[in-house]
Amino acid sequence: MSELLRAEGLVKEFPVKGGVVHAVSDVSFAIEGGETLGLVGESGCGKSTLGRLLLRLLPATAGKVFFKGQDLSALRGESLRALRHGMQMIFQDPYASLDPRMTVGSIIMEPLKTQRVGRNRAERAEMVRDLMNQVGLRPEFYSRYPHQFSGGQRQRIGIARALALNPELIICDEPVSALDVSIQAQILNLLSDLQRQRALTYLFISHDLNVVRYLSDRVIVMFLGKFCELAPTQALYAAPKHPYTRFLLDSVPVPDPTRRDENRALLTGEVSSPVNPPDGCRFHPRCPYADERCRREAPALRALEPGRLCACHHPITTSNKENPT
Amino acid sequence: MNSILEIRGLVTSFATDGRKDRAVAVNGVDIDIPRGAIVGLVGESGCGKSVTALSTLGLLPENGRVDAGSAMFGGQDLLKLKDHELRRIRGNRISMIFQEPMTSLNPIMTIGRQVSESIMLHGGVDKATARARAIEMLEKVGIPEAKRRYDSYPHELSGGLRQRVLIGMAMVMQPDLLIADEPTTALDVSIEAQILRLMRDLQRESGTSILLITHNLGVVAELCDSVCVMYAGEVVERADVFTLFRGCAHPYTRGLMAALPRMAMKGQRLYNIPGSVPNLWSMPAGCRFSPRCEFAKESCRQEKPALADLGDGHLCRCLFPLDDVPQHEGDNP
Repeated sequence: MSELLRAEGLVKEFPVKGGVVHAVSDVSFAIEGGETLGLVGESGCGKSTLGRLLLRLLPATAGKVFFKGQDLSALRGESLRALRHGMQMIFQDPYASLDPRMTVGSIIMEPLKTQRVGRNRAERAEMVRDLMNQVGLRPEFYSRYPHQFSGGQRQRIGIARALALNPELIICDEPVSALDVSIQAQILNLLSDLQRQRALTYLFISHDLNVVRYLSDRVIVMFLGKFCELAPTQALYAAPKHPYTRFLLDSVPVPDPTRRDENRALLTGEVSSPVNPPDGCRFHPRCPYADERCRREAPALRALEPGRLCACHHPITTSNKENPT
Repeated sequence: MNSILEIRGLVTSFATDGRKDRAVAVNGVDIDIPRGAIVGLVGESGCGKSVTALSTLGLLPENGRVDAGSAMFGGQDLLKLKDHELRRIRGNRISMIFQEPMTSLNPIMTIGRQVSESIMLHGGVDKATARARAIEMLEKVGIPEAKRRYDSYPHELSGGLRQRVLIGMAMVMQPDLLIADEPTTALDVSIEAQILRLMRDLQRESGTSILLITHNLGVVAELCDSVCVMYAGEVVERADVFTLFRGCAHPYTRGLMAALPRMAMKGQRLYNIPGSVPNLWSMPAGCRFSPRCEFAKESCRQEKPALADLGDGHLCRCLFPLDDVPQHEGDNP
């Protein structure tokens, strides 16, 4: 595998009344070609902002994004547009991201038109029908409008539009969060199939730890604008190293009533605000392991084992993994 | 019967612009809530689970109407009561919590006053007593610095704290029944876990019966004693929670469980229920799930299955209920 995208020192700050929202704070990572990298965290942790920074849908306060070795911030106009073909996005609410006055056919055709793909309208329409087939939409629905479709079908429209320019990387921002569980499974299967058929790379952003686990090769856990942990999926779920990861995993309701009385460690306190976040480790006010050093010094994201990064002064080891209560 | 609420044959329909026929959202639903139990009402969007609760409480929107059925609560049929009689029961003997706490709180009144007003309204106590009891309740539901927060407005609290306030308001009158409609759906997972634990602890302490409406099978497994699964306006399966998760019998329930990406690993295919839920105006003949059911036979498309007892109170609306076999996540049933 080779590196498809690299982010270096990405920062995004929004000034607000009474302070600055530190949405993304000095984040660096790489996405390998062909993998699914999961990005998980709770609301306000900066995961969606990070996705938008990568595509330059939002300008970064600092830092660089390299796509296939090219610095996106150095590109302008036509060359930026050309490189952007390779990166597309799928959004959470397929309805809000589809123009209600356009037919499904023209929605999917739009990127083809703006990028002048295909010789004429007839050729583009043929490509659209082919895309509809690939995402499981009947091409007869070409002239229908978004409101005539169910939520799952609308997400298929969004996926077809994202695929139109034959991208290498798709940033999926909570693509199944608004869907019922039976429909969610249909879309997850579709995303897996497309990845196999087209050798796609995904950055999969979600708050749902089960969905991220199912789809991802590696997972990043984010908290208040920073990475807590980055690890191969199996290792992360089997033995989390960062206390926050551990709490998150223990919080997920388990669909097995025989396990309901297990003594799981729950987080106390409220989600802290990304406006003027705490000094030191941003998780320390809620962390039972925190000591003086955690309050003072922000831990760096460092390798505990090859491929396993963790930003914690006191990562969980086999000797201290009992419940901190 | 030692049930706090017995819903029988509930039928609820809605008028819609531009259509003469009404949409039947709930079609003959029976639900029992035993005294002191937590009953889960589970299903996907549009299955009629929330409409069932709103019908029972007389809270349907203007275009909605209860067409048939009864809901016996303490010897009275709630569906036959007048508005002012129902209002006396709601918030006093029956409390409610909804998904989005912000819409249920008054934005221009402090949270403390909202709790103490509901104490004074239903409890007939003076202001000072109500205030003391409100602070006590806010502490109980885990509001930090409850005395100071008494004077906070809803917008000054996080979503998790707002839901705690609503739970406090709902529990302060020690209702016989609490109806909670997706109480944790809008919350982050770490806050959801806290709220579920709070509800469980309060329930154990007070013995209040709870009807918990949710789409999340994980939440059901964490909290409920028994479960009703709804599909297209009907209860399709009902069982105690352990029976249901060990061996559900309705193909729809089995499909829902198999579609959960709980332990499935990358590369494994998730089971998915083909197609989508039927339109309220064009319900399939026979079994309503038959067009999406991979086990459906010809008779399923003609004959409407009854909610039949499979033994031990395990009810299932299917002509060919599935055997009690363990399920493997990620496998097709």
